[in-house]
Amino acid sequence: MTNPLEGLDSKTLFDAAADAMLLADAEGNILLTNRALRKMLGYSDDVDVIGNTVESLIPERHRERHQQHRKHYAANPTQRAMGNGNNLVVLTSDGRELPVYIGLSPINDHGKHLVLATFHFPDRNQQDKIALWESEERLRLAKSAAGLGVFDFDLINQTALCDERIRELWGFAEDEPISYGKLTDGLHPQDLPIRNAALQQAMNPDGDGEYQVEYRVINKRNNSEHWVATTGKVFFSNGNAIRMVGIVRDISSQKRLERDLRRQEAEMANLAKRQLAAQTAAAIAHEINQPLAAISAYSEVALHSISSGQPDAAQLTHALQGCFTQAQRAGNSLHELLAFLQHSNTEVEAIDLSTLLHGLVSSIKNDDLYDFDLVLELPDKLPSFSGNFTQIRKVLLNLLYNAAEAMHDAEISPAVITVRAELTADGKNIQVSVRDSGPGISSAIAQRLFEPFFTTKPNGIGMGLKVSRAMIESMGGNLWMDNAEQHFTTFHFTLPRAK
Amino acid sequence: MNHNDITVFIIDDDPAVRDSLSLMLQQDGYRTCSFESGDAFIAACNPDIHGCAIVDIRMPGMDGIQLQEEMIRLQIQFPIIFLTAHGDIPKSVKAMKAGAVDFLTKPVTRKDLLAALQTAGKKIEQIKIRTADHLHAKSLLESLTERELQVTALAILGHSNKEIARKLGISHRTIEIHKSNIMKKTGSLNLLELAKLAHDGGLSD
Repeated sequence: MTNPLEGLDSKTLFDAAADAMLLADAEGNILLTNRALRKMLGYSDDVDVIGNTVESLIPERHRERHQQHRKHYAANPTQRAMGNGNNLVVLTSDGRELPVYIGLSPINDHGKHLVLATFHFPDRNQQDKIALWESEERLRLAKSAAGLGVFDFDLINQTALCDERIRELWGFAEDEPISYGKLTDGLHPQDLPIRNAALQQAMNPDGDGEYQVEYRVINKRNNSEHWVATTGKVFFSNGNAIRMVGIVRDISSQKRLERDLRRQEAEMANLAKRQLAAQTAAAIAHEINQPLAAISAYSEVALHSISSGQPDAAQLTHALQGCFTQAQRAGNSLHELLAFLQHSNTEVEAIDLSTLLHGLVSSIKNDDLYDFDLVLELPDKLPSFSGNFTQIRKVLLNLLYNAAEAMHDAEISPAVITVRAELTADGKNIQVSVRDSGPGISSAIAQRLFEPFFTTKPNGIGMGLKVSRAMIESMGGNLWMDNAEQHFTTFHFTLPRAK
Repeated sequence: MNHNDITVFIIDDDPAVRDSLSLMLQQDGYRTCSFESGDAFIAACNPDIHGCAIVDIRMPGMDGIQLQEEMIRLQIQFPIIFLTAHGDIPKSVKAMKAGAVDFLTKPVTRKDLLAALQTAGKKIEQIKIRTADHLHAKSLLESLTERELQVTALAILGHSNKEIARKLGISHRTIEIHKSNIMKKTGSLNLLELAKLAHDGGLSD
């Protein structure tokens, strides 16, 4: 068989190739270019480029880096395929920049090291694709760096597009089809109402379509629980929600930090409360103890005088007068002290219970010290009542936490607290009732509940209910406990209807 | 009972407490004297008076502990009974370490107070004896010459006549004469008795 290439010189072959090629020596000097390359770069003749370094063909800003690359390559010359991360930019003879992929092949010609570079110029369409791919890649990297998961719901066909991060968070298998329903199934049941409320609001064609909610996701694969923040937007067409796109973010560690911080704050607050109680007790002790010391001594003087058998009338009178005066003094000191402690300027305003309760619910939800389901039973048109916002909030929180703690200690599941509100029969007051699903309160304890410093909690100071009742009474209402039902405990309070 | 020789000083900012306690102690034969503050008491007091103090630990201005410190500084050697509204442990420990007789919580009972005063009375006797010893020793030491006092100070430290002679730059024989005079003047039979006298008279301090 004859060699079909016999008689063809290598330069002719080189020039005939459709791909642009260049031959350089180990020092980077251009030895040969082919026609395709010259055509692409706008050179009519080899002489314009031969003898120059390959760096002369690339923009100045890349030259130094390229030299480095070239040295690296010379140290370890291997064949490198096109598009293997070696894409760069070349300069045309009139100074335009063209994106290019290059392939490098080392040639060993009798101990002389040469490099054959093959150029591949992507066409315009492909260039756009590269740009798109690069931008998508950038987005993907940013997403993964930020730990974001992306979802896209087609609300008409009920299909869901979700990325890897969402699969990972929810614990779906790699090829498992994801539906809207499956995503919902992954939510912590206690957070469903909040999620649904947020969703309903976002779907409202009259609203802004913003969807923002935080909930817990229980991972299907390993049962781990993650707090997830979701931000999205609903798109409408002719008043119908058609699509929702958004991102999810794992905020578990942030939640943990917040919870630790809140716990510390609660401990600090408890400490402060105890300090306050101790200070108050010390103030009372101080006011009372001096007169008591005097009364005690005067009494013993009187007793001693009588028991001597010859009571000295003047001394006896002096001692008893002293007892009387000191007892009066003690009483007055106490009244003054209490008046001082109870003195406060509480501003009274008209308050809408449902607004207050919803605000409270979100603050309790953020505070997952206790797990419980809160059921609100509020009539549609509940009139506002008058009171001090902060104090009523304090009373409600106090009742809710007492209930939550009681159910938690009794290990009751599900722990449910029901808050009911209604207008009293005479229409003058609003009555609010907080009922737990707890173990109830024994009548022995129930009798002492409102005593100051009475507590059943290891860290309590026993002032919560006492203070709550005082606050409600100062706003013109009443607070009492209803122990009629055996298994539940209900606290009621009334507040006057706002004028 | 008769406690005519002891005056009880009551220092408390509360007039009713002062009045009632005075009455109580007077019933028991004590002489009492009340002050509304530590400053007023210090101003009226001098080291020659013997007595005992009942001091409220919490007072405006100088408090009970500060008063105790001030009395120690002024060498007013009164046994102190502290009164407090509520058990103040750190302060009571400090007060007891500084020589307080007792620490009683208000309202105080007659029984507790009288018991504390009994203890205080014994302390006063000890203080009186110590004071008498001190005055006696002091007067004896005052009869010594400057040189004799120098010799006494070195002798009770255990230095031999030879060493004392060298330290003071005088002859061994002269030291022997000094020592003989010292023993005669102070009525000491031996070096041990001289050392006790020097201690009581405040020379060895």
